[in-house]
Amino acid sequence: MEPLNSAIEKQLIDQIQQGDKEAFKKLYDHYAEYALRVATAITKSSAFAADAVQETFIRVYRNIHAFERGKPFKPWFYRILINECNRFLEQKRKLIPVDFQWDQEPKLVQSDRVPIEQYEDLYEAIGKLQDLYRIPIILKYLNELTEKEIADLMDLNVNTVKSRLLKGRQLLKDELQERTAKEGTSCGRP
Amino acid sequence: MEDHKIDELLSESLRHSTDSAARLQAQVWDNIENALFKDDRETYSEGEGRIMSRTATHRRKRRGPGSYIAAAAAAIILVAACLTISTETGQAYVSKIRQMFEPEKKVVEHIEGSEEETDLQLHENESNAALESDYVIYVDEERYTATKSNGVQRIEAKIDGDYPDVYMEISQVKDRKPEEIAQELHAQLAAEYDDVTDVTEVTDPVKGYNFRALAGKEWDSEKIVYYIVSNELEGSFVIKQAYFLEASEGHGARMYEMLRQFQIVPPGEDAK
Repeated sequence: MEPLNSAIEKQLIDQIQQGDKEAFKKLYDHYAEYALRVATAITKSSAFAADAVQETFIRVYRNIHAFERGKPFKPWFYRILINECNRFLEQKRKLIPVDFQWDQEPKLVQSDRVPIEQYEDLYEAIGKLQDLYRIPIILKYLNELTEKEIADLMDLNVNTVKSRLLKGRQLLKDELQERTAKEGTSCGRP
Repeated sequence: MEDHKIDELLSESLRHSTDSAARLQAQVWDNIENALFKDDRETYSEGEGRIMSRTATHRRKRRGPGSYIAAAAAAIILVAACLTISTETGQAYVSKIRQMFEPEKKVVEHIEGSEEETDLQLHENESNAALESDYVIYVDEERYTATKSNGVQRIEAKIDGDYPDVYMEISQVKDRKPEEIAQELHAQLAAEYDDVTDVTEVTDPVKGYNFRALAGKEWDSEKIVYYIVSNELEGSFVIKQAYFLEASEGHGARMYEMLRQFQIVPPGEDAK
């Protein structure tokens, strides 16, 4: 996602505050794809993600008058999105069995399958992280939010975000190494 | 593993694993547009993974109980939703499907304690999606209109006056199993309605999973019924019926009977 020029973004927000639907569509086009990706990674369901993103944009449109001019839009937007995702997660925790399966991306046919398997292993490992590590990891590595932006939208100190990213990344590395070791052991059996 | 390697792997893994959701962008916009800019109706449509529609419930004028029994015989249309029909091959396939089913037939419907014999008439519809199963269904053309938009077949009651919407929607999810979809939709309904039945396996009117939600006990309380059926490949059909409490024995029964005529035609079946 190319960063939206801040002057253009402000202009779009001004226009949306005046009820300009076309400006809202432009803003949507810019943010929707990564919002859907982030929401999918957080809720572990593309269907819930679609709902969360839909509700997020509806809230944005209905509350855009409350958005303070001069403040960056991105953290405000992602704060709403994360709240919506958490709402769906809360429903899912109440209503869906623990062994609920993640959406499965169709398997790719590719001669070199090692990277794809690594992606899948890693995605699964991310899903098993506690939310305090998982959400900053998703925001940083999927959406390229800065640590400052993540801190702003999660109401955290920047150093806390850095620490969680570091810890989360270490947990993922450990998990991958453990998997690799297990695979090596099982391959070595007679 | 080196830090830059894990960083790169994290980004690639997250992107790769969320590609399917990114493709929902246009569909989500349609829903947002409906919610914000068209009446007060919120429509959610199905594509890669989704799913249900919801309409604001309003207090409506009461309608006489007998008005749901129509006297005239119905012409029934067959809706054949096919996936490759815009092509020449697709047209040929439609013709084969048409040959597989009777152009006309009669069914007996049990409506509010009475039996009605209804004439059935063959009709077809087109779809451009690919790699999914086709299906056919008989629709009471006199009482319902059948339309298709964004892969969703909508069979809607022709009702005069200010009544809640009555319709049945059929959509296909090509890569998710019925069990998974049933759990997910059930969770969504349970979050929205107090009265939701458990997911149960049924064999009538279709073989699949069924559950329903009821918004209250008023005559016009919204009732939503879901059937989730395997598409006999790797995916599912999601069938949603929406009507209101008083219409259960009228439109509810008619839609039940129409759904009994639902028949899946997996790709290649026509060649047998």
